[in-house]
Amino acid sequence: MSLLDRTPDQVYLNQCREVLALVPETPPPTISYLLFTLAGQSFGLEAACAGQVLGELPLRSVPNRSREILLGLVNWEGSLLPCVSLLSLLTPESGSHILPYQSLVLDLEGERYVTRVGRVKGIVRLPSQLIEPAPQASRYLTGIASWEGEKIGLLDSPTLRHGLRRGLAR
Amino acid sequence: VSEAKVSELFLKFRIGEEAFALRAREVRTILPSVPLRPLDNSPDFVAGLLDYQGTVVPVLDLCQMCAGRPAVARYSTRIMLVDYPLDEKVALLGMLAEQVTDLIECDPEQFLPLQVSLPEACLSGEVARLGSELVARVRPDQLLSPERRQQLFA
Repeated sequence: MSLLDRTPDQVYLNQCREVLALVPETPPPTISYLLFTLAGQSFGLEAACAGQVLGELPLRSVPNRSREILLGLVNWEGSLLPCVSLLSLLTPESGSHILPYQSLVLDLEGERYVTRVGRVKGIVRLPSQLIEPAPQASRYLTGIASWEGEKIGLLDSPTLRHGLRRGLAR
Repeated sequence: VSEAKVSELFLKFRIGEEAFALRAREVRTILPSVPLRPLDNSPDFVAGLLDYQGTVVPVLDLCQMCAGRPAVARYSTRIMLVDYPLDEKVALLGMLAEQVTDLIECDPEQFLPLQVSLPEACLSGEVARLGSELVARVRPDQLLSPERRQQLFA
């Protein structure tokens, strides 16, 4: 007779009943962010806005442009994407070039950009209770999170999209 | 050469000797047949109430509904929790059945509606011939007649 055909043990069934009656704890809400460094600072971008992380990509320059926000064009999987400098958008005083860099494909509500960041640390789930509101002066940040002893500036993707659009139109 | 068919997983169980199947996607979870709180003045087919993670879930004994006897006490007798559509929301419903041990993979189109109209045979609206036996597909939303539904969820 196989185990499944046996008469169940009442003690076991009563234990099961007690376990089933327990209400599972709901984990605190989290938001996924892709963390990266930029000129020594840590930033987080909503993971949904991060398309792909790549190494260094050859850049085609665009003539007669200031190269402040728009660094040039990049061939990404056969399509030409604007390569933008998050650095000059977020910290204008530190110039627009970083070395060495990693390329990050941004997908801001369907608008794709390639940007250069220092180092991509990975995607983490930040508990929303760790996120504090950002100071008013920082227009591209939605909040600041303390994560593993570091302060991480969390980017606000709609404002970032507007900032990049405005920068490209200049 | 056989054509590639869309197949789905079905949870197979038995009531006595007869085989039944429930679409695996419709099954929330499968639980051992734990002791239930009896419901007074309830019809035979209501096995009782289950306290599942803080929710009170009515459990139906499919053996009572189909064979007129309670399900036998075996490890293979289990409670299947399904989502039962109720007007606008979804309620959990437990179904107690025997030999809840197998998952089978088959094309849902193999289950054909019965030619005869038997509203009382609410567990066997569609039947498929799988291997050497006939397997009836149970649809949770057709399990209860309007009167029974009223009794349980009013």
